Amino acid sequence: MFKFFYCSKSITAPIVIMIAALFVVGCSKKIAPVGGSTGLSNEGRSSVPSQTPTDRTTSNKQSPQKDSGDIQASNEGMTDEKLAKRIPIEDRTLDENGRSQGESSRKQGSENQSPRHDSQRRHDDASGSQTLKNRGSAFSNGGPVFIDNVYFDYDQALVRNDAKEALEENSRWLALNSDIRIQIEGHGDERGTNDYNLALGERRARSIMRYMINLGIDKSRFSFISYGEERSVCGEQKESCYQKNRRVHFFVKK
Amino acid sequence: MLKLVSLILLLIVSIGNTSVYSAEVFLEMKRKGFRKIPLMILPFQEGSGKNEAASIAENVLRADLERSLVFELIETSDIGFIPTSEGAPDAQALAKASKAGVQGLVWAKLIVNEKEWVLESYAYETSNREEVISIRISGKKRLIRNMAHRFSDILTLHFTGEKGIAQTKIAYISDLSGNKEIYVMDYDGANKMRVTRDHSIVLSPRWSPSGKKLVYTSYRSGNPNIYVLDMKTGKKKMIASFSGLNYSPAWSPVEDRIAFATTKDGNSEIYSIKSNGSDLKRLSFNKSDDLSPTWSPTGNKIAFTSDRGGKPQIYIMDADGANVNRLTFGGDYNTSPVWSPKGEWIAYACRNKERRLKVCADRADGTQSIVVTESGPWDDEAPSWGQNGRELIFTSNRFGKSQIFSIHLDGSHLRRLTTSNPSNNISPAWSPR
Repeated sequence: MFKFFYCSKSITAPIVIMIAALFVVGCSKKIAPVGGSTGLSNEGRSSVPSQTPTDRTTSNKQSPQKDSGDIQASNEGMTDEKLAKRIPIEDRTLDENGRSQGESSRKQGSENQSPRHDSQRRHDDASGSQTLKNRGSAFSNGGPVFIDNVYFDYDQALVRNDAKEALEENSRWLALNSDIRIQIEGHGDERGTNDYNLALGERRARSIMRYMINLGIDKSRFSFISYGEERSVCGEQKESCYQKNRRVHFFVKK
Repeated sequence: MLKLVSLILLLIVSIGNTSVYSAEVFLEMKRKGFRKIPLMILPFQEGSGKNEAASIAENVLRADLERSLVFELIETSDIGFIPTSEGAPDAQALAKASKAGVQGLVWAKLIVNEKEWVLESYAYETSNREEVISIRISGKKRLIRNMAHRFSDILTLHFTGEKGIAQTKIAYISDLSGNKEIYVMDYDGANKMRVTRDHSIVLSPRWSPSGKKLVYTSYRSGNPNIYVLDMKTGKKKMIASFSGLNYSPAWSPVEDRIAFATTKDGNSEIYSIKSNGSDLKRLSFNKSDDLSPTWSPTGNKIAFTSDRGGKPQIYIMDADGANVNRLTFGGDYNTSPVWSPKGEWIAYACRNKERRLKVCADRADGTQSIVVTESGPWDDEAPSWGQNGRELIFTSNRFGKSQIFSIHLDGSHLRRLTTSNPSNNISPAWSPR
């Protein structure tokens, strides 16, 4: 424990002066010990989980989550890329598509598992590309394609015209896949303050949800969350990157 | 109306030129014949031979006193003063220093024991040649910097009558581990320590008035909820987990209440709640988003961000939500207000004509508005006040990644506090004393 006391034994200064110092400084009550004054006492240091920042793990946001006890938190560490592996949505759509569209598309879907057709990707998103390819492959002869991201103008939560087309497509897809639930995630670019971008991200998510409800998808199939600027997919300070981050991402739940 | 126009003009002028009002702000420190107090630090001695720790302590103290801006450090060489090997100055030495205009002599001796280190700390008033401080500050070896900070605060209190801030801490968010977690460091950036392990996203830490607890938002359960962490016991409690965002908390300086924003009503509104999660009260009622509350030091008022006028601006209301008044009129993006500890200023992030965020500060009565940080192609945001009311810390990406800086309210004395590239260090919150 960090402590101090007035010179009493080893210091030869006169007692009178020490008392004077005590009086002037008045520290016995007014100034708490180093640890106590900020709650970072030695006890605090040992009981609060601590790690020196020099103990650096090399990776960044894309590093895999190891804390299996906290499932929800693990989901947040997931990148779009992992989504494709975790949720075999391409298989699901294949089956349903196969039933509705016949044997040929089922066959085509399975053949396409490694060479993907890129033609139906409406939106380029580095981290979501694999998911998009998988989904696109199942419908290469005309069925609806699920689109992972729609994008927004700077500081805006209005649904853009290019997004409307995507949302209509997604609505058709959701109509065909009635057991799928969607988490709508609102994101912003790094400009603007963190708090305000959280609010903006939520407005974007709500605005997309309203639009899709108006297209006839039941409200119960949606949940939404805002990540503000906290989960960007592109880290450079340029407009092309900002645009990738100003998005609503659809997180597909079972 | 005239007042409104002049306010707008004032802001336009001040955004255009950051230095216009700097001198005026600085006068605050200089009023009542303020003059820096001349001190001289004699070389710290280490009991048994040379030790780097003694000079570390000396350098930490030197940096503290310089940063406080109330002391002027006179070097021994400046006045031809030759310190004796004894260390402690004699009457002759004090007389010489006094003659040279030095008001106080500061000296310390480090004693290294097996169990603990002791910093025997002394100060002398040269005018009456009196030893005015003689204190033993002891602690473990790793606390040597903190021991020097403590000595600095004792000196500040003695010579100025005002409590120092050298022992304060800064809580902040770093993505060093790959996730955004809370860290705490000393006010000079030393002794960084990780506090949370949520493996998720943690945002906007704020201190309790005692400095013993933190309140913050974490996504650890999936939804962004608000938690209170007791730094001593390590216990945390979720106090707000409404559907939607629960964010931007701020602890009342006078009572056990936390103001925060939540979107549970369909848009962002400001509420307050006790720190144990009971007694929820709604404070704002508006279709637009209200967020980022900050309390006045008396606890009577709350400033916050609202886009009820179309664009985010700073508003002030009574702590019960009544009497809402708009504070900022310049620019179209003013967010993240923080009320100064003495009450006269509200600092916030403002967006300038180049569409860059800067740190601004307005007098709480609306009579003056200044831009604190210099213009340039980068963003400065998330200001937080030091308890002396003269210094701010904030986040800036002027050198690439976001890092934490401190700056004097008049725009001087910019100091970088975090350097740990490649991580981003953001959302600093300066602790109470």
